[in-house]
Amino acid sequence: MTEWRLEMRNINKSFVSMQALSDVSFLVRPGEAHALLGMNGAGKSTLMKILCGAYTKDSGQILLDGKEIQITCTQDAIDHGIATVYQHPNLVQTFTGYENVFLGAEASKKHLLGRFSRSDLKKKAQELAENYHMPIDVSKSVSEMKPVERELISILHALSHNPRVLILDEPTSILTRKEKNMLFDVINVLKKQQVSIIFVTHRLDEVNEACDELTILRDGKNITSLRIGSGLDTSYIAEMMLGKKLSNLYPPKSDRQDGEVVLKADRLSFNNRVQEVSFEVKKHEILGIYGLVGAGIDELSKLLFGALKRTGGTVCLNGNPVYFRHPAEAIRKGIFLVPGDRKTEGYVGNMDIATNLSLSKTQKICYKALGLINQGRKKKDSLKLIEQLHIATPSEKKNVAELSGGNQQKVVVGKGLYTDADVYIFTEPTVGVDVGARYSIYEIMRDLIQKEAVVLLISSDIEEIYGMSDRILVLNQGKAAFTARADDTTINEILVQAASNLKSEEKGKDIYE
Amino acid sequence: MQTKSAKKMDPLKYTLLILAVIVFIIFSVLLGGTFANPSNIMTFFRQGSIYGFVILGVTWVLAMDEMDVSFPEIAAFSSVFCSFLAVNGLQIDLAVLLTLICGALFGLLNGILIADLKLPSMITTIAVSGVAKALGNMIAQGRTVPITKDTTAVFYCLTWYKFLGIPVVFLAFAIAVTVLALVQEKTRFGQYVYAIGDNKEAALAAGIKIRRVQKIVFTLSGLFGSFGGILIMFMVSSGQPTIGSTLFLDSFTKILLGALMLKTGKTNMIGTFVGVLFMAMLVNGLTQMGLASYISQIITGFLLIIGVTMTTVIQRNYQKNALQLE
Ligand SMILES: Nc1ncnc2c1ncn2[C@@H]1O[C@H](COP(=O)(O)OP(=O)(O)OP(=O)(O)O)[C@@H](O)[C@H]1O
Ligand SMILES: [Mg+2]
Repeated sequence: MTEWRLEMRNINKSFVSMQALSDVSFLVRPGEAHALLGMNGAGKSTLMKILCGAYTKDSGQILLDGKEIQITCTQDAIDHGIATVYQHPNLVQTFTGYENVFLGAEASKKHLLGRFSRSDLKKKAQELAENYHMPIDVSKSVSEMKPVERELISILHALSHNPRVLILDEPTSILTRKEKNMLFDVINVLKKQQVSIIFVTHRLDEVNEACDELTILRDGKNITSLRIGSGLDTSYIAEMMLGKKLSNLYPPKSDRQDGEVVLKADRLSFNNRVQEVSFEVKKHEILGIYGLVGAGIDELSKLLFGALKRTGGTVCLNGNPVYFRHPAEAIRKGIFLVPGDRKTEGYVGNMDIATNLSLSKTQKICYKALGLINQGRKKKDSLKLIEQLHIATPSEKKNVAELSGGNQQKVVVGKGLYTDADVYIFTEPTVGVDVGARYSIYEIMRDLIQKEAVVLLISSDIEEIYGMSDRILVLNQGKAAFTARADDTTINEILVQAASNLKSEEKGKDIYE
Repeated sequence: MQTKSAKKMDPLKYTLLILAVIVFIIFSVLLGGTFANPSNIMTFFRQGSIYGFVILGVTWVLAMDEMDVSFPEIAAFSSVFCSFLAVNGLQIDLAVLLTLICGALFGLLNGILIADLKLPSMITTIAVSGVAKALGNMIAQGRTVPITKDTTAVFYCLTWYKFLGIPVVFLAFAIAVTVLALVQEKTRFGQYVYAIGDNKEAALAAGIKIRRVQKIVFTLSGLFGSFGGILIMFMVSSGQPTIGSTLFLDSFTKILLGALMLKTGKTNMIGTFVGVLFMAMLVNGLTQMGLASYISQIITGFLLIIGVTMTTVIQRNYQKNALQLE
């Protein structure tokens, strides 16, 4: 027996346009949680996809418990006990949760005519969920599930294989504190069973909390590997990832105050999910909106954007009452929503970056008279945005589906920026975005409010809300529970407001340390 | 599936059945005893079943979110090829067997091109369809190929015999649909057909051997096309090189109307079964009312549009659900 559960040695992988991995080595011990870190496009997902059989390596070796293994397809990896939770939940929408959990492993018989019973699967899935203390209704169809539930289903799918190596590619990006704790508990249980866990993330605090060792990649090369002892020098790690020193996490807030009101919502309601929520956003201001899952934030953003039709209340934009039947009307009137779930709502994967960036505001790049697209303008504008947002790509012609996860997120943000709106609603803008690019997205938000626009920031990352917002609105069970200037409140107070009045057993779990 | 939204759409699930009952009543009133008598009903059950066999395979092709336009021409080719072999002295059952193998091979060819070479299924099957049509015409030299009646042939019995007053071919069709529906609902294979149809990437990530499933489904499509073509040959006692074009519209109408049944907008075996009988009844009734066949073609065309519209609406609802926009 060797010291290592998994050895990936001298892995090379190139795509048509670029070398994604060069001579990367990656070693993991049994019963260890190993963090894999790096900036967007560093090659983390590519390395993991090679391990789970989604991509094939150009060269290099993979050893499991000292024996070399060949992984040519996903089934090979599963047979070797390597299970994966992908960066984007990859589920069959029309199937139920339990059918997804056991997809590909429905029956013990290997052949295709192996029969299985749905009620058995359901029972087994429920047991699995209970074993790991995941409160989820596995009999719902995935199309009706919230992103968080989908993530849990993906995790259960991976666990159902009793893996020896479990790959988690940014599993926490859409999880709230409560589910994160749940996931960390799962990790601890698995570690005791000598399962090796590979944890890809951009959140260094999580690395500190859940991992024993870390490896950093940059531009497809190994930078360093080290044990996480008592504590983690986050600024050192960030520096290794970026290749340069990072100053602040958040840009300074502006001191301009008391502009006129741009957006005003008065007793806005949607069934009982949003109840009489009122707020104002003034010029030169970022309003942060925070709430736990189910507080009605998602609905609120969609109400403002015309994707949901309100059942009561009014919305005024620059003093004029507005009512949108469709998002297109909202965009025309100058409201733009940067969606949170980028895979289903954010981008068109099979189109190139430039087209995606200009998609919401094609008229900007059209010749007025003819309605033809001005290709030169399109190229120039998209190159500018690519540079502003540090999108790692060889050209603006690359398909968005081929970008790394974080860079896809930047395209979604860029698409919003391009609309020249008066009101930007950012939902979870920095999910999966590395520390360096985070800062530039924050800077861009600050720039926006320096000009004419206002920004609504919706995020489940409380520090982001606190660090970026000028004023903060807290929703609690569909009601506006609390508003304050960021300077006059604390993270703790926000959390208490967001969680108060909940049933007491939930409350304990929800509060952030 | 017992999901919440499926429950919400419960009435929709049975649209086609309800429609069938309404049409049946209308015809019964208009035509009286000539329509609603057992022997007439059995007649259109038999006809419907014969044409129904042609589309059993392609039902899964559509469920898998691929396209197969070659099965009508494979059916036409099979009817000609089988009669040609028989006319040239081959024992009739052997001729049938050989033809079925050819039909399956056409399907497998589709499958290999689509699964292994990753060609788009629409274009691939158009090409294969062209080949099958040309071969059929070549053999038949553009004419029908009459066969001599052989009452001992297995397929002859299948086409013409009755059991307790019910056409054997209808019983066979019902049994085939039952078996296939069980495969569809109770085995991994059926599960994978729909998983691939919904999200290929997820299926791939779950270790499902997509290419094998695709090849099997396309092979079945060719096989059933061929099977139906042979039945048609026995029904009209001759190989018909030109049946492909009429089969085309009718078949897709049946399948897509069937998609209104049960599986929330996805083509499926039970739906196809109901679609087949519904269309057979409709054509039978319209013919008895003395409407020219092109009128019933127009009606078929409209039904296809209705079917497609409704399935699209259902699926759009699903996507909306997925975005949680309601
Ligand atoms: N299928 C593909 N075709 C072409 N290029 C690709 C493909 N997949 C990844 N790449 C490129 O390989 C590089 C590494 O991508 P990868 O997804 O591994 O990054 P990552 O480290 O996971 O980043 P992130 O943190 O943003 O998820 C990127 O520059 C990306 O554009
Ligand atoms: Mg990634």
